[in-house]
Amino acid sequence: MEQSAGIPTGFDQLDRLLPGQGWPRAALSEILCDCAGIGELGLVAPGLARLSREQARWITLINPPFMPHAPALAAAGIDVGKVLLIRTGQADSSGQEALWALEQALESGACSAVLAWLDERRLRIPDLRRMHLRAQQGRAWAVLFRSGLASRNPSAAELRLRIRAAPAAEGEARRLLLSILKRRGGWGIDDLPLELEAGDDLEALLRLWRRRKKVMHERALSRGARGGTPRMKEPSAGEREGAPLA
Amino acid sequence: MKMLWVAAHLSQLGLEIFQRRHPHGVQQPMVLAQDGRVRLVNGQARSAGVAIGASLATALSIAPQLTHFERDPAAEDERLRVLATLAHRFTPTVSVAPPAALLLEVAGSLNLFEGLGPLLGRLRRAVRRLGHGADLAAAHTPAAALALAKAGLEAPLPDFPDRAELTQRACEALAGAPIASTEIEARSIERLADMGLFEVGSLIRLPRHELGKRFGPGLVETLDKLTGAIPDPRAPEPLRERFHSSMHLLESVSSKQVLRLPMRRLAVELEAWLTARQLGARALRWFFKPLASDSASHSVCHSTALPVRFAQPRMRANILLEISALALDRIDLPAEVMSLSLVADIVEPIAQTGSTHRDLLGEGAQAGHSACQAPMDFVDRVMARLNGESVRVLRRVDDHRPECATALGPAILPETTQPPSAEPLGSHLASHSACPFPRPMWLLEFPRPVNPERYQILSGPERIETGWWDSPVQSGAERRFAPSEGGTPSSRRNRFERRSARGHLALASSRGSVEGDVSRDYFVAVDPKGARCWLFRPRALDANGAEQWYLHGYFG
Repeated sequence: MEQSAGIPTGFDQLDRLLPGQGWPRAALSEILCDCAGIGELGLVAPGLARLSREQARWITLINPPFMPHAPALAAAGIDVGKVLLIRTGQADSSGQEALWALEQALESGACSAVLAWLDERRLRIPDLRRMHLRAQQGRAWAVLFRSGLASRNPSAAELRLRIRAAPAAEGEARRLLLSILKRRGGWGIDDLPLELEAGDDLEALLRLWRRRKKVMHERALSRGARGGTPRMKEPSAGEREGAPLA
Repeated sequence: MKMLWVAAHLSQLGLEIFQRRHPHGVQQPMVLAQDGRVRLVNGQARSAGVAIGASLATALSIAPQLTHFERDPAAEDERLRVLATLAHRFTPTVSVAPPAALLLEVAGSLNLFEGLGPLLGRLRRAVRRLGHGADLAAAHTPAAALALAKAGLEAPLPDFPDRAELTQRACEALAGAPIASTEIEARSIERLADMGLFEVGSLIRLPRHELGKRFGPGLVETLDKLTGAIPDPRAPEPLRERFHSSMHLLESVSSKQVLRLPMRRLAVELEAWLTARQLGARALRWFFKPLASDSASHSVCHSTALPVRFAQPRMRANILLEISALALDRIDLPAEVMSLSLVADIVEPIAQTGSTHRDLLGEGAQAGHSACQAPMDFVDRVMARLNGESVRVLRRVDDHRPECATALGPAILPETTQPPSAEPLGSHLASHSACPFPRPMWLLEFPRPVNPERYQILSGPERIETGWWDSPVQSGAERRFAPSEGGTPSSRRNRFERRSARGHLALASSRGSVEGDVSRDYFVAVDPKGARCWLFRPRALDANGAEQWYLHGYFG
């Protein structure tokens, strides 16, 4: 695959908006979100899954806010054995170690993607510029997760996105509102609704599974009724409703 | 059998062993003295006008800033044996010819090194890399090679000499060599000189029988060995099983930066040893001894140890040193380091992959950093600078308890053999139909008590009721999940408290994640900020008889 083409994000609407039809392969990207857990990992997961299938290099997470859950990553198609977790711990109060580890990860060329959560207070513009250069050097997709406040400051990142959670009800797909603050070859875009496929798929699968179980249950019951050996009592309507989910 | 001997004569060995121990580069004139006479001079001393054979008093009056060392034959001999080990990369037959020469039988190695010329070049570079200068010569017998090397003569030989050509060329060159460079005993050399015989050529032409009568059978035997008329077996030097090298510095060092140079010398020696044995180091230890314990040099307790571990076997001095230097930044050294030593603790056969396969001499390492380093270099570097516990690879464990389904293992190279699968994302999900329930991508290491009224429940409950086999009385759970802990002191303390507070399920699960018997109802919910969360409600009530909900993860 040629280097100029991006990593397909897994979201068609987003692919159409990004230069190279995907995440930049060797550059710094920033994803700004105010609270962790709203869907930032779901947004990058399809890209990571593709990278972990295509390449043997590490996918490195530096100081993630929570523990990544291996079954969920595997369910999203990410090869868990390639996920490297670096936590600098309390000893790194200045944030320098994390920054150093990030630069090493990018520069070494040993990582296809590096996801980092850094101390916002210690981040300077020259650091960001250096990160971008290192990402180009090591041909790594560097993703920096920052708080929404960072949008006020300039950055050397090639792509800057801001995501917000969109209200969702039961049964509905998880939705994000995505704004592009900075991209190559285009203006920013505000509040593009994006359905997180991974989460959606799982829920759909769950519904499918319930329906299938219900159908099979009913089929078994009706077969029992037709077969002329009515060992089982004909279930009442209430039982039929409640049974599959027990 | 066709033999081809190469002799390496280290004329400056006596002085070089002191230069090696110098923490900085050598700039001042140095001489080696024995019995009050100058035996060896370095370049600076020579240009200052100090001549070999002068008395020490004369030398000091010519160059007052002169540093002089008393000759240490035992140290020379030991160093020579170290070098013999390192020469094993060229041939298995290496022997030592005291006081300052090595003999290598290389007939079997010519094909591998693409001829005699390239082999000699590599040998010279390898010896120079270890801090020594060598005069090399090749001949058909060990004695002849040695005499030529000592005399500084080199027979012009093709890359693949045949026997007749080799013998003829070597004998021609030998004819011009001084008798003093051969292994003839000193008394005979003196008497021959008195007779006007200085060159080997004129000695060989004399009738043997009469020579034997006049000088004894020893001289004839030596001459026959020189020309190859009788065999000249040499005891081969064995290859050392373990690597241990130490260096006593001439000056104490207080800066880590300055320490790099002596460390490099030891690392280069280790590389040469590893190369000769085709091994890679997995774990090293450096020892730094301070000035104070100098007098009681056997007290190891005062030395500072620096263990360095590698994720894969390492052979190259550059990377050994680079990673050691990163680890060195983390520790405190004695104020004044007087001696240092290096031990290879764990060595493993190195994988014969691409670049290392033909590269027996480490030329690849000297080419500097390539654009893409091996994936483990990065891991090693980060492990050395942070600590080994902070770099981990995720691993999936088949366990229904969410907190046990992820384990952190040591960083091992990802499997590259897996072919890139062309199947789309959906089929991945379908294959994972064993668990159709949603799982969050982020898990909180310690579930947080929350108020469920602030959350909007989307789906659930999903009951997870498992883990009864890890009953609290067993320590199995502890052992099993030890690697999954981050290893930070706080988490370890928490684990301990948890253990002491067993019996209070709610308390335990609020603190930490590893609790044997789990019985919870999980819900998917949306928090006030719009993030999708994973909440659970333990079936057991807490100590006050109330129901307590916990936040266990985010769908991220």
